[in-house]
Amino acid sequence: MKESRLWFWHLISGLALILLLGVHTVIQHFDSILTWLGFIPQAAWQSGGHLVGSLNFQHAVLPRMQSVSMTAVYLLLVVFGLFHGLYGLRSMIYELKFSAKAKQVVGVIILSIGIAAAVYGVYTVLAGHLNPPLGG
Amino acid sequence: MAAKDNDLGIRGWVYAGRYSLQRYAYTLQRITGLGIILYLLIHLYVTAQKNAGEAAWAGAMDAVQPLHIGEYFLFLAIIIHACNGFRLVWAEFGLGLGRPIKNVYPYQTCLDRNRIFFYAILAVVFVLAVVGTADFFNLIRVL
Repeated sequence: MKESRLWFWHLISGLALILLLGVHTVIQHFDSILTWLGFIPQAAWQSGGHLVGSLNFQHAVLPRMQSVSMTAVYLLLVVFGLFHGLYGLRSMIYELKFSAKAKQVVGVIILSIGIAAAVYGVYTVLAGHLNPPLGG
Repeated sequence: MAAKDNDLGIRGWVYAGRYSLQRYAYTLQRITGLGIILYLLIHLYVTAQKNAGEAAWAGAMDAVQPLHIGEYFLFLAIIIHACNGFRLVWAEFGLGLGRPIKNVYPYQTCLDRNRIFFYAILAVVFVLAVVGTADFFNLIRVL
């Protein structure tokens, strides 16, 4: 793919990640703020029995894994996150004084890491969604 | 005459030259980016353990518990990277730079015109950092 096109997708994936990470962060990490604002009942928050934010496996983690919308968010996060991050890393390394051959090797290594991590991440998300460990 | 070698190598990652504030933000963008991509790879492995059941997931979470404070710095890194990245993407598309002007004294560059955008982003980072800090350390409970 042309470098200018990769750079364009780097920008687009960055904007997408702001939205996706915003959703991910607010839902899974701002639970006390959401409770304070009244979106989560105080009692549910104290017991960890609410769907958002909680690390309670049976009541929160499993339902999130089974949710279609959260699965879609996770899949997009994996793909966009890895592309954006690894392309950024490659760009930084390419600024160093390497030969063209060395840069090609670095590019292949980073692409391999990206493909392996993407396959692992997508498999993990889909396996968790389609075959959740209901027995705990 | 041979062309001047402007390739700074690794010094180019941190040297701001005369570009001042926005250039240091660019350096910070890279430092935070490196931290985030490293975390993402670890995060993929740790969260994958939940597919093996509650016990395996709890074990993985316990193993990374000593790094919990690192998640706070990760949060700060993400909001800095996201907010500054938003400014950079906007600048890349030519927004927030002002219209082209004639190069007459007193000279002004698009960096000067973009600086107000930079200060606005700093304010957003500050607000998000306060909210995130309150949530992370459960300060909201005592408010």
